[in-house]
Amino acid sequence: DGFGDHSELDHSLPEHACKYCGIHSPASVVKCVTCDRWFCNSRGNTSGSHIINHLVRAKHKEVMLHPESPLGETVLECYNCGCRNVFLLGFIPAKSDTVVVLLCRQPCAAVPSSKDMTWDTSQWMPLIDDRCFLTWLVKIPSDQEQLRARQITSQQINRLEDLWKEDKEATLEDLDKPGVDDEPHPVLLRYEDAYQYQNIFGPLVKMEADYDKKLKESQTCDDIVVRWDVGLNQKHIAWFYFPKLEMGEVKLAIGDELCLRYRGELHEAWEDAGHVIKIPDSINDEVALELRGSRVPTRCTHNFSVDFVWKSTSFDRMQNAMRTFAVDEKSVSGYVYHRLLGHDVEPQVLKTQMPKRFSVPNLPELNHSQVYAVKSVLQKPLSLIQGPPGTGKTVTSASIVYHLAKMNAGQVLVCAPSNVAVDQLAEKIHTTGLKVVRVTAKSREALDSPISFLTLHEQVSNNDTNPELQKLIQLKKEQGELSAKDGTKYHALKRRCEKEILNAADVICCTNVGAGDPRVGKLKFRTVLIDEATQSSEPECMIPLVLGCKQVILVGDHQQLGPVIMNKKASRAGLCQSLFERLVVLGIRPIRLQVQYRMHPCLSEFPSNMFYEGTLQNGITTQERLRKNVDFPWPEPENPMMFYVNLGNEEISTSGTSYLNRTEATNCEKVVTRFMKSGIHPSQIGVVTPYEGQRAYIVQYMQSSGSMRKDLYKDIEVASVDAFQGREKDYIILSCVRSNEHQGIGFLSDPRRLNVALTRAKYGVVILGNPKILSRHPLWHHLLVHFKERGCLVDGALNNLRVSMIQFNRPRKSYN
Amino acid sequence: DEVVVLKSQEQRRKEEDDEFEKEFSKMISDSIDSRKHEKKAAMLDVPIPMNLRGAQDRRSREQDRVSQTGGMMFTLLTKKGNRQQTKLMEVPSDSQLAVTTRSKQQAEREE
Ligand SMILES: [Zn+2]
Ligand SMILES: [Zn+2]
Ligand SMILES: [Zn+2]
Repeated sequence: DGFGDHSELDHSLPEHACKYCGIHSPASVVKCVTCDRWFCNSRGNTSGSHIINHLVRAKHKEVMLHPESPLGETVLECYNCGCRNVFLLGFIPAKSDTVVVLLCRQPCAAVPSSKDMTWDTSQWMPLIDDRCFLTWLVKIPSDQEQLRARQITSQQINRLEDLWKEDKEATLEDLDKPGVDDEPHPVLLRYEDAYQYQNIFGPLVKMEADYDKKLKESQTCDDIVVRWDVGLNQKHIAWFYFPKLEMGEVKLAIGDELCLRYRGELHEAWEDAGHVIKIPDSINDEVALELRGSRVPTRCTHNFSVDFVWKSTSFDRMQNAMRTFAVDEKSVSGYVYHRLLGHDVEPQVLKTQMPKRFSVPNLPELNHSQVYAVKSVLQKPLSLIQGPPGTGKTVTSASIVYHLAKMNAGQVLVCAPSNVAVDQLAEKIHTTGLKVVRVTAKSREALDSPISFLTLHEQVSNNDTNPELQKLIQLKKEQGELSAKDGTKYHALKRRCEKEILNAADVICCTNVGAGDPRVGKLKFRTVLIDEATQSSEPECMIPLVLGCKQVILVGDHQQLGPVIMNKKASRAGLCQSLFERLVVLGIRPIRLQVQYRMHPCLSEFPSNMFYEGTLQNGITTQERLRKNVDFPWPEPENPMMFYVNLGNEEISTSGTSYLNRTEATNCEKVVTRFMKSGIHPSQIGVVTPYEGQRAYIVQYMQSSGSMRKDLYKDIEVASVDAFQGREKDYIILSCVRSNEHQGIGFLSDPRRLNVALTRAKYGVVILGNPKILSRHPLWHHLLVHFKERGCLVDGALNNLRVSMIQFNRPRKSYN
Repeated sequence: DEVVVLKSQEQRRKEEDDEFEKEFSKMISDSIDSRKHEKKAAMLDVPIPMNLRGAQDRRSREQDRVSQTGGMMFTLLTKKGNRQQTKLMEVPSDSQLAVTTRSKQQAEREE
């Protein structure tokens, strides 16, 4: 709204007025040569100037200055080669005169300065600085002009650019016409019935699936160089470096399917699919792909391509679950049905015999809040448990599962979104003496894991009740393949054996998506516990629920990271909200575990106050979390935490899609080295950074420039906040990276991500960042004040730290 | 009684900004990538016209090169067809270009 006021003005605007905001002073506008539209060099309220916004969003690259601008009509191009891509152009000064020339960064300005007498290529400076043309080349419009101009938001810019793709003459006013912006129907808090539920979530899941498919299928990567290897199971393994991964656009996970193709001349065309068995880590940047087939061109190493093979399985299973929820009355009990849909119902108590003792065999004694949690959920048909960091969520869940299995007939289904979480919980439950079966996806069967003995496929191959099946398994191992007749028999016997094992189990563990596997999905489960429920989307949570449940326990923490939804529209429509969160909004109070055993009390103070209303108690004392003999310059030795002021600049990483900050990387190495020199094992130090560019840079920098043995640095885990969720280290170093005036602080502004980052360490935390920039964000402002008040805000050299006197900026009201 | 849980405007704006930031970085990296295989010239072929060479009397010329608004004047070399053109360009005195040029001149004078 509000554009009406300006439409009159619009008609009188000259041709060269900024198509976004109307500003038209000749020194402040440039023409996009590709589409003949003019844009100004002011930012308005976006993070880049209007012309840069346009070039980026339209993928245009060439511009011309206005004839009446100080330099006159000028097409910006490389003097040497004529390249007009402004994203490559920059100025170079002469070595001894006040003369400059425009050159492209690649290849013209890449000529070493020493090779040229006249020009100093080492001084190349880009035409676009801080997402704006150099302001002395294209003037920033005056404040007055900017005030009078049309205020356009980045959303409107986005939509206008989309409109131009269909209608070249479209204007801002057209955005308000109906039907232009087809946002999907947002999720609700309450639903009439399961059909409405399905009608709303179905399209969102489809959007996410389409997006995922498009993304994965566009990820073909050529010029792959392969190194061949053979696994213990005699399968061929291709090792290669996969540059697309560094760009961070596609996340590769173990078990993903990739297709490897050969298109060179040394062998006939060949392709085969396989599963990823290793992804890049700090030791090795390569991907390992286990191929299905046995005929592999191992003589060739070059000219391979890799494609992602998109699988709809997980999305199909979500859609199926919602369909089942809608059409099958028995999919969940009446009570659960209404509660899930947000209807008000009379409270219900399940009639079962409560146990006398709540602690369980072979697990630690429960504390009061854990006992309270266990006690409260056993007779309730629907409960939420919130487990803040370090509060013993897994032990509590395992204890609950133990009692549920003992109290009720039938198996308990235990799920979590990630394989790691399922494995952890399965192991703990196994410790209590219950019979646990872990069902994994077929693609993960080859992977080694500490709980392999619990997996269904291992239990099948280790079974001793069926000699005939044993014989066939042996034969298959020796020959690789079975005859058609033996094959059929093998499958029938295997299926029967699987059924027997599953039926004899007390507890079945799998991922949420795994609960849609026919081996699990054909069974009925009265009782379901979902761990890390705040990290699953709603439809994903529905998969284990619709197998007949009468009792549901969701465990998670809605103050930590939520589900990852790639499609922005689906995410905005609410797919990023977990079922747990919606139930909290509906008024179901989660039972909170309140005693934390991880962090030194000084480390839990801020998170407790900021994210848990100050309710977090310390189950651990200061003395238990102080390391004597660790010679580290903490400003307050009793409080092992510090905010180390780093004012270095952020830059765009070599991949171009991420950020890095060299000053922080240098200081990170110094802090790490200091820790190691005082005897801390590298595996107990974690470096957390929100940007892939910085992760890669720190790994490489520590190994190339660290003052200690290179392989020591390899044991230091450097990863994103998300990768550290659910885990802990003795010492954590957080490298914030972002340091610029005009933009937000990106990932760091999410309070839940900050909470996770701050709560990983047991013995000490070092934060590297720029307080000037971070203090603009209200939450970070609080954090900085917290460090400052405790005398833990420092600057200077690591061996000569001083309390920092730096002034904070006032926080902006909006979360930017 | 439909209660809609939606992200706030600010959150949405932040997401758009993050998205833009990523797209911008991608433009740069794609641009560099697209020229990776371009042959590197051994030498630059960009001569400075004789009349602009500042060997004669640097000190007096330097004064000419400070504009009324305190900016520093530079000459930009451009090409029209095959013809070399020069354009005067004012650069603020606190810009990186002006600062490095000044300190270079200072150093030369001290030699
Ligand atoms: Zn504008
Ligand atoms: Zn354009
Ligand atoms: Zn060039």
